[in-house]
Amino acid sequence: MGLMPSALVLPLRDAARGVGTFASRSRRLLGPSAAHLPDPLRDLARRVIDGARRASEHSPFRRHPAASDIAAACDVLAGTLSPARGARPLAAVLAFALETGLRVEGRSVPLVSETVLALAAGDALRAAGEDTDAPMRAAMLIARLVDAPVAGAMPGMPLGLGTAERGPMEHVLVAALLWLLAERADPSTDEDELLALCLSLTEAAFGEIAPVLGDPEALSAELHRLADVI
Amino acid sequence: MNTALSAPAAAIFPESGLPVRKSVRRLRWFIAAFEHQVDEIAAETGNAYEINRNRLAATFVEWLRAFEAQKPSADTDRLPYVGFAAGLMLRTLVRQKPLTATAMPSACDRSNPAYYWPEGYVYVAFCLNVRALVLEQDFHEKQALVPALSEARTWWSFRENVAEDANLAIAFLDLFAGEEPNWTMPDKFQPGAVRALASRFYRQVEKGPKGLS
Repeated sequence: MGLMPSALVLPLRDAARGVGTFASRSRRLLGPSAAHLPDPLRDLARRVIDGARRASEHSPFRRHPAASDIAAACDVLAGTLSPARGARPLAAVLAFALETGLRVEGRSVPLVSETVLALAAGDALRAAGEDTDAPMRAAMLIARLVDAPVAGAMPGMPLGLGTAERGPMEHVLVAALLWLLAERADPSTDEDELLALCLSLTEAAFGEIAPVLGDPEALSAELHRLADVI
Repeated sequence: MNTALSAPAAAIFPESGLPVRKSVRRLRWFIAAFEHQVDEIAAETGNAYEINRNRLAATFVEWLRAFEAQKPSADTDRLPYVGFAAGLMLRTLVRQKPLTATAMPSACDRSNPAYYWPEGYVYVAFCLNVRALVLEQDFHEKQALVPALSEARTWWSFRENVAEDANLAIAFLDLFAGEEPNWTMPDKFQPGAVRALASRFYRQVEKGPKGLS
C-alpha cells in the first residue's frame, strides 16, 4: 500500500468491511430459502457470497492492528502523540476492538466505520487540553464516540435494522479504552488476551461504570481506578 | 493431604516483580495464578475443569471491592487481615462459581475432598496458597494447615454451610489454616482494638456451624 494516497486508506478499509458484512448477511438471508433453489443457482449464489467474504477477510486493507498502531493509540491517549498523527492508528485499533467486543457480546456485528471513528476521535482529542491526563482523554473519547455514528446496520440490508445499540457500544468502548490505558510493562503482552480481559473486567464492573457514563470527571476517575488493577 | 495444599505456593504461581499482596490486586496476575492453580490440581487429581473468565473477572472485582472496604489502617492489623482477605476471596469464589469440573477419574474416591467437591477444593487451595505466600513474603510466617483440611466430615459441613451462607467460607478458611474461626460474624473484620474491647465485655460463646461439633 506504499503508493496508496493516505486519505484513501480508511474509506477503502470501510469498503472492505462493507463487503464482509454484505456477504455474512446475505448468507443468513439465503439460508432458509437455499433448499428450494435449483442446485446450480444455489451453488452459484454460495460461491459469489463466499468469494466476497474471502475477499473481505483477506483484503490488505483489513487486518489485526499492528503493534505500532496499538503503541501509537496508547501514545495519543497519553498525550505524547498529536491527534493529527494519532487519530488514524487510534481509529484502526478502536475499530478492531469494537468488532471483537461486539462479536463477543453475541450480537450480529454492525458495520464499523474507521473513517467516522478517526474523525470523531480527532475531534475529541483536539478538544482535550495539553494537561489532560490519559483517563480523562479516554472519558472524552467515550462520550464523543457513543454519540457519533461509528457503527450501524448496513444500508439496504433487511437484517440487523437500526444503528448499533447504545448499551453494547458503551460497554465495548469502555473495554477498548481500558485496554489502551492498561500498563504494558511486559513486552510480550498478548494484545488479544489483554483486550479479552478488559472486556471481562468491563462486564464485571459495569454496574459501577454505567452511572458515571454521562459525567467525564467521574468516568475518568473510574477508568483510572480500573486501569490500575488490570 | 494432597500436594496441591502442601506444595510451596511460590512454585505454583506465575513470576511477578511485585510482592504477592500487590500482584493479587492485579487482574492479569489473579487470573494467571488461578489458572496455574487449576492446572496444578487437574494434573494431580486427573479432574478436568472449565474456567469461566467472565465470572473469574467478576470474582476479582467483587473481592477487590470487599478487600478495600474493610482494609484496616493500623499496622498491627495487617497480619490478621491477610487471613481475612483470603477468606473474602474464598467467599467470592464460592458465590461467583467461576469453575466447573467437567470430568473426574472413574474410580476416584469420593470421600477425598478433591473428588467430593472438586471446584471447592480448587478454591480452598488457591486461597490458602495466596495466603501462605503473603504470610511468608511479608511476615516471614509459615502457614499451618490442620488435619480438618483432609477430613470428609469437615468438607461435607463446609459445602453444606457455604451453600446456605457464603460468608461462612471466611470462617472455614480460618479453620483450615489453624486459626480461630469467627462463626457468628465471619464477614466483619475485627481490628485488634475492637477484639480486645469485646473480650472484656462479652463472654465468647462461639457456636460452630452445622455438621461441626
